[in-house]
Amino acid sequence: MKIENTFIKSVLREANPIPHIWQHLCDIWHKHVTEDLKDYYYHGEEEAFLFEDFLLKAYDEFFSKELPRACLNTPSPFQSASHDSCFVVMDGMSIREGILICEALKKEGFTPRMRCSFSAIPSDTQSFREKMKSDVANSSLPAASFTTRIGKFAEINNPKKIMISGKEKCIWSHFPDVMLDKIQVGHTVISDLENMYRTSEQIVFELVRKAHAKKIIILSDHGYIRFESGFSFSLPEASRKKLRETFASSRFTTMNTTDLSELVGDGYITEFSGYYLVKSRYVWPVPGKYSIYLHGGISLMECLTPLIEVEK
Amino acid sequence: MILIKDIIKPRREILEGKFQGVIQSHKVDSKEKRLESNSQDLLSVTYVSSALKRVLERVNEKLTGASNQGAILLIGPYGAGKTHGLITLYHLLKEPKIAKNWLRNWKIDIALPSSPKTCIISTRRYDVDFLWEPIFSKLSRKDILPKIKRFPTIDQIEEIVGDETCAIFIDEIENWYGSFDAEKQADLIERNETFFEHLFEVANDPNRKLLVFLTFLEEKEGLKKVFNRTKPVRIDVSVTEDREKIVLHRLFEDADKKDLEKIEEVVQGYMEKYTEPIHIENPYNYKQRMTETYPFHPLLLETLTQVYEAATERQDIRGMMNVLADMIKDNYDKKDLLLISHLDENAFRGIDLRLVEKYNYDLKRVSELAYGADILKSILVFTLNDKTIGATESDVLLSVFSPNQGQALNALMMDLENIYGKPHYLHKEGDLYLFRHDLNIFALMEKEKKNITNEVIKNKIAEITKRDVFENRVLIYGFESIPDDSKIKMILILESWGENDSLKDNLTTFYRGKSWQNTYIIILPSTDGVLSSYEITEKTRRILAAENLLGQVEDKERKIQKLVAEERGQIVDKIKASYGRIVKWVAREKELLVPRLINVSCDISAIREKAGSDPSLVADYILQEIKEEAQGVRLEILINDFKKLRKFPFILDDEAIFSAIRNLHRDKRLVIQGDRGKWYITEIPKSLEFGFVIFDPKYAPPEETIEKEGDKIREGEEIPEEKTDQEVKPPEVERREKKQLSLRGNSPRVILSNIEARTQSKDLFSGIDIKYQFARELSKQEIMKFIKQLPQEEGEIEGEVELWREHED
Repeated sequence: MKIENTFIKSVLREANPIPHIWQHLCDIWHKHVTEDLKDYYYHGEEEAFLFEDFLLKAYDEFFSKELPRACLNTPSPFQSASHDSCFVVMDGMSIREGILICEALKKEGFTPRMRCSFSAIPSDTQSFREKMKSDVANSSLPAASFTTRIGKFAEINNPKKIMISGKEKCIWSHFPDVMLDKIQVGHTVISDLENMYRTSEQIVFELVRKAHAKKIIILSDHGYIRFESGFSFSLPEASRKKLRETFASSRFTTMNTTDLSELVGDGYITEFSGYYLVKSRYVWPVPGKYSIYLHGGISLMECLTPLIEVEK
Repeated sequence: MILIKDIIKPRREILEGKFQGVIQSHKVDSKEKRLESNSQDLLSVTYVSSALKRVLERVNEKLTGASNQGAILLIGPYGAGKTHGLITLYHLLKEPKIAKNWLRNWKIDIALPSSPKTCIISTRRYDVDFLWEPIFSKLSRKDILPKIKRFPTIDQIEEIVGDETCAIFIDEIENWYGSFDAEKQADLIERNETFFEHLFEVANDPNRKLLVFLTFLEEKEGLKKVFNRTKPVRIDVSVTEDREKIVLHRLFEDADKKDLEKIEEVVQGYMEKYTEPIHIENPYNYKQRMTETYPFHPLLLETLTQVYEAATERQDIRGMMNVLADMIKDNYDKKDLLLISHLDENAFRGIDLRLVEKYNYDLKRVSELAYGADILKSILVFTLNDKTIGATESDVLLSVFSPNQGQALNALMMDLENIYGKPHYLHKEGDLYLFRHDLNIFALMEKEKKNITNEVIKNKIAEITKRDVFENRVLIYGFESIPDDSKIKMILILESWGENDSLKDNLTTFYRGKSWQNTYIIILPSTDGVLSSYEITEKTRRILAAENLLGQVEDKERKIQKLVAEERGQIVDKIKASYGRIVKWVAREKELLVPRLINVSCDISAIREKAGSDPSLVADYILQEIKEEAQGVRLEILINDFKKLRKFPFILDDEAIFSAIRNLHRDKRLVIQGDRGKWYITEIPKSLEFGFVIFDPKYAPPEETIEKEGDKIREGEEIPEEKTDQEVKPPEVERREKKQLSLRGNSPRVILSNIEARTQSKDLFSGIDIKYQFARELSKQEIMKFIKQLPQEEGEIEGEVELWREHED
């Protein structure tokens, strides 16, 4: 994979490298957006993998400092809520799906704008919800009356039966995350990425159509990395054993429970804000059934999430 | 009043405190005066239980030829009466004359042989390799022993038995059998087993009158197998059908000849007073039971039976009789009926020592209740009973209530009602009272809660609200004095001030007599107020009760502290949810001011920020103030007016005015006259002083005058240095905010990681509060060592240690 000099220069020059990395990642996925879904997911992932590999080797601080700091300290988008906007959180939606949805909306005549948003630390739903609540509570913006309603999400559990009145200001779709969870090693495959995306797209379109708000903000609580071979980094046996013992199938653990300085030194995990977080695409198999789409760690595809604004 | 001694006579040994609960077979031929060695005495205290009757029937069948089987196993747990039964049978067969009378008395019609050969063996006495040796010796056939090769043959045993009746009694065989080493002494085991097999074969021979009696716990599988080959008779002596009669017979003389009339009188006295909540299903039957079990209350016997039956090691009927014997000795001449509360709790120390100690520990806590100790003892006994686990109200009353001795059921019920919450280990589960090894914090708190007054609760709510919710940055109205000065103050109201007229009335009362009226940020609850919240007041009551308990209760698991912390957290959440609104004043129709309530989140910084006015509004008011003032307005007066009069926009500090003035000056909408009359028209003063005067630009002197005046250098004055445009900088305004981060973890590493993640490289830190909650308690030496290794940094250090100190006594 060839990385342009201009990109490297801009990452080095700027105080905040994240916009450049975000843009590069978007470009990778954009390149494949015209391919059929299966190829899009495959080729895009291949290239994103190589890019992340380069970044991990060349710019380790990005994973141990820059990215986690941005996730922890960047204010939640809910802080800037206005009265005429509606938030739609697509649980587990990654850049991959964000790019596709953006393109699909354009085809329907909308002019969506996509920008970078962040997961919480760790990159899971619970932490995102906690961060969102705490950000909103500390917000001094004149969105107080709106923010009092934050936390009371209308929930989408069934894509075939989306029951909303249109007046909702906050909607939480459990898709695509629930479908990702069902794709497990050792399980009968009852879902696949293409199917998952189509369901997510259908939900977004229906919500955009039904919501009364002028502006619809579609965002995600976290993305995911893929466990399949070729898309993840391997580990030496000893480290893999230690990681398996400590993390099991999770991608993070609290620092209260154990001292993993050795693994931090080895560069497989980072310690941040009281957590040990698995870096980038390091994964290890665990006995029994486990999901092959993981989140909770600190990687580009888990932590950088799409935020799409659609004006009606 | 009729007493037990008027109705039934305890056996002498009971009254003398010499009750012999344990009967030992190896003492049968003892020279001491013992029950075991005296046929007459032993038989007189022996009740013919159904089990014993069955054994005698089987003996009769064997001797009359109705059955072949002469081997009889007496089975049952420890203390069930196996040995007693064995010795009784031994004496019956050994002393046919005494036996005859005894059998007649008990109306048992069997003919025992006149002079059988008998021998009794207890392995407690004979530690031998071959059990046949003492048996044959005691049967006076030592001569056979040299002829035995590996084990006695059937012929040899038959030769010893001969044609006469022969009875062999073997006790405690399992201990002896179990002492063989299965590997090293396999040969001995096998030879003895073969002997038993042969012995039992001969006992099962219709032509031989051999009786073999053996007590058997059925614990040793090897023996069980050997015995079962000839299918000996098994008699379970632990069956409880005769238990009460056995107990009465063993403890009282002529137990079957009680004075029924007197018993009826006593029992009637109880039955008449047994009213609700004492629950008796069938009073007629119950009365019959009370008569049967007299002088014991039926509930006493039932409960003790269950307690002692529950585990083999509890010594079953023997253990029960020991307890009852002591009870009789202490009470037979004082009471009319023996109840559970008359038991000596020390008898149960062997069953659950820790629980009995808990009961003893709690006794002093109920000393002021007349029936406190009796109630607790009853509950203890019911707790020890695995079948009941605890006592119902009815159980307790039946265990304590003694109406013939002047007790009133109501008084007892009152004590039972008042007792809960006093003892530390008394629990209540549904309808059951019971003792537990762990502290009943809930009950203690419930009791303690009654001592907490509403006034104290209110003060505590005020304290929590001020400290935990508003970071000590508010003054609580009604709980502390509200100063009337120029500083900005946040006033927290704990109760609702209502709406409209009610709100206005309360505000009027608040502002009455105050000069600095525009320095108060009044924070009102958005609900009915925290003092009116049932949930908050109840939780606070619990906290206070728990805090009171802290010094009184030994709480090793720190349950109370955890509960206080948990409850406090919940109260804080509830209080936060109750706030809030702040009062803003809006001018309407000239001078008329009306209050407007603004919603705010319960965050002290957010409230403060919300209370402040828009800088442009402050600027407008300043302009308004100087508009018609040809003499200008002195800054000090302007600021004081803003702080004194509610018609002005609320300012959070003097800087709000200074900043507005600087902006207005920059926009040329006012001019400033500084020290010594120096005019600042275009130039901005380095800093603004309270003595400066501000003017509407229309009152400013012409530029030339200013320059001239400015040029004049008075005597003694220093020549001001010339300033370039670059040097004239606006005064620096502090553009930083104070933040607080809470950190939590179990090691400095975790705290460090949080600081690293959540702060910026340019942040400056003015303090850190660190609290260590140790996972285990530290000794003084350890805490000293801990403090010594804290880092040294220039500054003040404050600390608070939490420790547990034992009472002096």
